[in-house]
Amino acid sequence: MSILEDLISAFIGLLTGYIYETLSPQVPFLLSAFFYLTGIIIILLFVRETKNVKN
Amino acid sequence: MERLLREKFKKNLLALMVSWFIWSPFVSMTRSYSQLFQKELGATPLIITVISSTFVTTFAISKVFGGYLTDKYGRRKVLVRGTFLAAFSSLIYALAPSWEVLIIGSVIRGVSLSYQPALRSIIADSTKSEFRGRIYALVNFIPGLISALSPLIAVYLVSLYGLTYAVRLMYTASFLRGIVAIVVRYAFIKETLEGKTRTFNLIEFYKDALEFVHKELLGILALKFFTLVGYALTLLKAYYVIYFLGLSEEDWGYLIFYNSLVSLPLFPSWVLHRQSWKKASTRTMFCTLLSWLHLALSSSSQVHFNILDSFDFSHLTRS
Repeated sequence: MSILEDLISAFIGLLTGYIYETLSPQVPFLLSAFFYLTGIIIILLFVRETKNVKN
Repeated sequence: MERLLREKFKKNLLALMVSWFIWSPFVSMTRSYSQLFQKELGATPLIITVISSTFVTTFAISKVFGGYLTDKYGRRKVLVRGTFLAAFSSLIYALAPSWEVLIIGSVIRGVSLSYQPALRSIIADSTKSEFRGRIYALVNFIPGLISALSPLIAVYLVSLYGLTYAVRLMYTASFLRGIVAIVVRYAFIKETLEGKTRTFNLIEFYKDALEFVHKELLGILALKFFTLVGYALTLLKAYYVIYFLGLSEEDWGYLIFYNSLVSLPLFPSWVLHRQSWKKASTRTMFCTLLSWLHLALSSSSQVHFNILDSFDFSHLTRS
């Protein structure tokens, strides 16, 4: 799994450099905030917590 | 400690810890200023991301082969050779005349880290299964603890010698310490792969693992994807904070030091397991979101006080 994560990170990393140079240095950070916001929405709406099993 | 380890391999963990103690602080030192060093060697923001992506891609591919080689040829052999390549890559960084050479160094470093599956296997094989969790926690904690002061030493070197020369010194020290780590690992680590070396098909080897991921973990992947992309988009943080917002190189070092302190996994795992995973993750992600927003909307060196960014509680969700 971490291999796929690394490949996605590598691609997004490249994209970050491109956006930084061609659009604006702030844009990657704003996009990052947007992705984290989406993550929070996913966690709140779609991820269910499993109960701890007591020994 | 002795009762936690398998009698036969009890020196293995000690040798690993000694090698980390010798090497980790110097590896950490170079991380604080690597982007700035790349810029000094002529790299633009895009080139910096190319260097980073080259490393990450090579690392990802080498991990596939690293896991395979670890089980085929033995952990010790892969670990010692990988450590040598990692140390050698530091020498390449130290002597690099231009950013193009840094790309070669990144490829070698990415390949060298194929020893990571071997490292994890040695720890697992050397530890009794009932104590493995505690040993892993200790193993993660110790390098973090001894490297916490590294950014401060890096700041001192940069203020003394200037950025480029200081970073070259750090990489040279990292290379020399890496050589000592190789000697320790070569001399004291025993092979833990018992029995004959095995031969099997690389594709078959990973097929089962992929099937498990598909069946069991698909739900959490969406969340993982968004946080991963969110984090990767902040790759140029050091470059942005210094060259766009105007933070000094020394203050950047202090900020990294502060960040490394608050990120130490100081809470025992039973405390973490008592709180809701969902709440802890939401809180972490919310803090991170605010910190990136704060960075994006900062207009000057007010970034000195970007406390939210430094208060990275990600260790709460690692377990």
